[in-house]
Amino acid sequence: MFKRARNIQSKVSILFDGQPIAAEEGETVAAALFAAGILSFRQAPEDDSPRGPYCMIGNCFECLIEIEGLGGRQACQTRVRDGMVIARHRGLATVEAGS
Amino acid sequence: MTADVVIIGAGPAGLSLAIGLAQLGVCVEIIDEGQTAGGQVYRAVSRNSSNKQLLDWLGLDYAKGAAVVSDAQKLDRISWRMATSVWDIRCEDEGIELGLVVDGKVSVVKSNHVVLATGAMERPTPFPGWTLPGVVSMGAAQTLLKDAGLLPEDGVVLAGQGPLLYLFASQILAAGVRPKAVLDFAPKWVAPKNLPLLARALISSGKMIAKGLHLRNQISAAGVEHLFNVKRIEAFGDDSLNRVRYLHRGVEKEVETKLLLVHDGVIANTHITTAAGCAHNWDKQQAAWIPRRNTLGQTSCKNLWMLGDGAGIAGADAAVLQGRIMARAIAMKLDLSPPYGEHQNRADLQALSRITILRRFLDRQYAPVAAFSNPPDETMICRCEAIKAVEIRTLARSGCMGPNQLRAFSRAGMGPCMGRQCGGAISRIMAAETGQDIADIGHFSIRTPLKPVTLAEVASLHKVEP
Ligand code: FES
Repeated sequence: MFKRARNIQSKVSILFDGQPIAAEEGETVAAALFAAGILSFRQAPEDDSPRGPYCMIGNCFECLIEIEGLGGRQACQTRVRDGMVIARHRGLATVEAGS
Repeated sequence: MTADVVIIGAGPAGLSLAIGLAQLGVCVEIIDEGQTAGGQVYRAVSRNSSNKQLLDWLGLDYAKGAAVVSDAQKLDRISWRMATSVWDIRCEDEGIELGLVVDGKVSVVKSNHVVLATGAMERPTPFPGWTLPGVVSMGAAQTLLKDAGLLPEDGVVLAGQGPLLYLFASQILAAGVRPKAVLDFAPKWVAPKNLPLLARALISSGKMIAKGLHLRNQISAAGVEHLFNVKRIEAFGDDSLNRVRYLHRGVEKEVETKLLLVHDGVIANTHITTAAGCAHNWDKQQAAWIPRRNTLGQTSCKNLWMLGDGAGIAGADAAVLQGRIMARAIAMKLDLSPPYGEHQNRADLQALSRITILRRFLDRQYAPVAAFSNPPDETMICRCEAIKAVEIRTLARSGCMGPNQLRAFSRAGMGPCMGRQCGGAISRIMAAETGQDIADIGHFSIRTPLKPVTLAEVASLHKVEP
């Protein structure tokens, strides 16, 4: 698990599977969820195994998640916005735009 | 596009080249995926420059990146396209066409001279259980520290090998984190056969080696268990990691942890050069594919240049030197007088060759971990499509003609990451299974889009910026 080295300086709030989570403005969705103790972002479509971010630099595509209703977004490449609605990714890892 | 030269990548290589060219009056455009300049090594360095505590933990080699970034930002001949991904690259005789995507919006630009400064990636580390949430690459953890100020919690286990393992361990120890164990796959001592390389490296870069040793010693000095010569690891858990099994001195042991950080060195990221159609060589010393270049740094694709770690790992200091050297080469090509005198150029080349000597020793001392290079049958190789090592081996034995045919038969490498994580492992396993040389086995070919874009967006592209 990960912890914040210092308290949130400029707070925004995001929703993950309906749960409000406090995040630092400008950080990635992956960092915000990690800091909230969430490591598993999705189920792999092929074998239902749980998966979460691995590389943090946009290479592995393990951090795919649903953001604002769009599936297949890269959580490590997407910055949080206040009120952002995020959901655990289920189903096929089709990749949508803008990740 | 008005820029004379387009540079992809705002790490030390791209920045140094841009500075050199801009000082000569060349207009440069830098494209990078990051929010801010710095690449992976100097990630978020200007934003962090007021966070003294974080800079203390990360150390001087990180903090010094701020100067490179601000030097580049001062030059108005450099323009920036940040948070921008390259999803397409086409090298034609008339110039190079780049497909860009920023915040879901797609565009195409053309340029006569494109330089790739696209950098490195961590060598993927397949082992049983590595897909479990809670198993994260060490570089990822370091990115989280630089970019978001996140630290691993006490009880984290570090495994693998290489300079980054020692650097990151020392960084989190400085921040007061108490790791449970460091499972080091490297030997404690230098093997006799590597001593001649060590001797040469000591002469050329003695200070660097002393620094590396100092970082390494901090692990045991902090009272953290540091095991050497670990042979195997395996991760277990249901929804996420809860324990790691490892083999040390012939004995299997287990350690409970929620977070395992793994590292096995870095390799050139050849995704974009492969897609562009550049020729690559299998580099035995680095155990990786690297794009073929001439002495000036030109790839086999016309007007496409390359420098920095993406052209073979040498590190951030080397990247800065390469940037200056290439600025000179491009300036001469454009009939401008070079930005740095002959004297400076000679000094840069000498400094670069000292780093190369050190690199030779490091590459040998930290040659890829055998357990990750040829992992057990049950190991997931293609994480996206859930293809295990046993399936790769079976196909290789049944006469599959190389990685591209294997991809068509098995779907390995067809998922969202498009083989970035499994390509190297598949070539290696096929080579081991068939007794062929990896250079003959070859690698995946890569097709664009390199980044997720929808068909609708591509279809909406009607005009090319001049
Ligand atoms: S964590 Fe690897 S792509 Fe996001």
